[in-house]
Amino acid sequence: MIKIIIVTGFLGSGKTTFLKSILKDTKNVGLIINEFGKIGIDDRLLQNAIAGENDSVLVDGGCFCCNKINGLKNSLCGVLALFENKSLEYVVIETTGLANVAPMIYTILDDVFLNSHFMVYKVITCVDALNYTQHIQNQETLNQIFSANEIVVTKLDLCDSFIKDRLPKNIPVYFKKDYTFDMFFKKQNEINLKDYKNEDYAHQIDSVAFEFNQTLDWNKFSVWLSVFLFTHGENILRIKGVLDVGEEECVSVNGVYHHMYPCEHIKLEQKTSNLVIIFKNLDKDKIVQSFKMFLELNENTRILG
Amino acid sequence: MCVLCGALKSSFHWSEIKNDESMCEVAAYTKELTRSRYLKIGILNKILKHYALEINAWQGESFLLSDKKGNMIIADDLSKIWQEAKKLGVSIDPLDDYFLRAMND
Repeated sequence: MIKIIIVTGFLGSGKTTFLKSILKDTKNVGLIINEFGKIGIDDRLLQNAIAGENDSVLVDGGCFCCNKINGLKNSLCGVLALFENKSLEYVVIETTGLANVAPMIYTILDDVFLNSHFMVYKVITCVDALNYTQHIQNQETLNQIFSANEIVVTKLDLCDSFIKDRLPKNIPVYFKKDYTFDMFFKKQNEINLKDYKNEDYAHQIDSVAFEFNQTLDWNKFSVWLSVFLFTHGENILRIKGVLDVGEEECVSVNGVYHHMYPCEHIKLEQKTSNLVIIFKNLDKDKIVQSFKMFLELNENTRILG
Repeated sequence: MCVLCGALKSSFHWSEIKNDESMCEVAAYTKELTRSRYLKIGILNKILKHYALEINAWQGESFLLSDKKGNMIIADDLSKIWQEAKKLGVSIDPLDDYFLRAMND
């Protein structure tokens, strides 16, 4: 499987500069740029505008995050063709500053050809230290931040006082100067599930975290989550969890908007289930009530956040 | 593949994908998948009966959703069921009071 790394961030947040510094000496990395700009990486450069209106196809019953992006599919097929008979381990996609990564993830997960060749490895969001306060007012920035597996703070040298505390504490944050080549291609620890704390990033965004020792019925959970995502997916910025489903290994679930990544099995010494849901414009108490009732969770379930 | 209509199953639902080597043991995994699908049907019917709908297995790999008027519709996977239910005029919201009351019964 070829791993896809999506680099996103608001307009002018330093995505291209970040990529240039990280990827300058790499080989066997395909690059797709979701803009008209060009940077050269080992002469293997693809220039594509993937979010153009004419390139999107609205799928049945879809919403904005379920637009299949044909341009992205063509670009990824183009990368495969370019690297035919050569080794290709990673494809890096740089999005436009206004992009939402959910449709990209959907395009890759839903397409039979793409999902048998590619996997979405991680999403890195660049945050501009200088203009963070203004950027955070935009829905696009919020979407990009909550879709991230990692946040990289850029332009720190131009900024006298950037307060890291203003960023979500549950997603790993790195400063660009400390971010190394190896870190880029390695999966870091993601959302901190154990000590999840609710934070006040923006008034319409809220989150809830469940912690329980009970074994979860995977079939029940997937039925509940599928109906929850179908009905309220547009308002769910992120779902992340590690669940004990009574097997030898725990199941790690991860989702953005309507879309769930393929689940992974991980070995944990202590089998405790944790689930975090970050959402907007939904009633938190109802989510808690519905989840607990449907999954028949006992009184020992801890609700954090 | 459905032998009657030749429909190919093009993708797996996220709840059915195992991202490890056991996916390679096709026979073992198919058995597990079928079992899990029948368990899901049992759970789904507990919800759907409150909305006058019923679900059954179809060709061992899809679901057949039907209402009391005799309408029938095939849903490829779990998330399609809710989409098809909407086509039959039923919206199921896990956060609304009707759903919560129904689950409490």
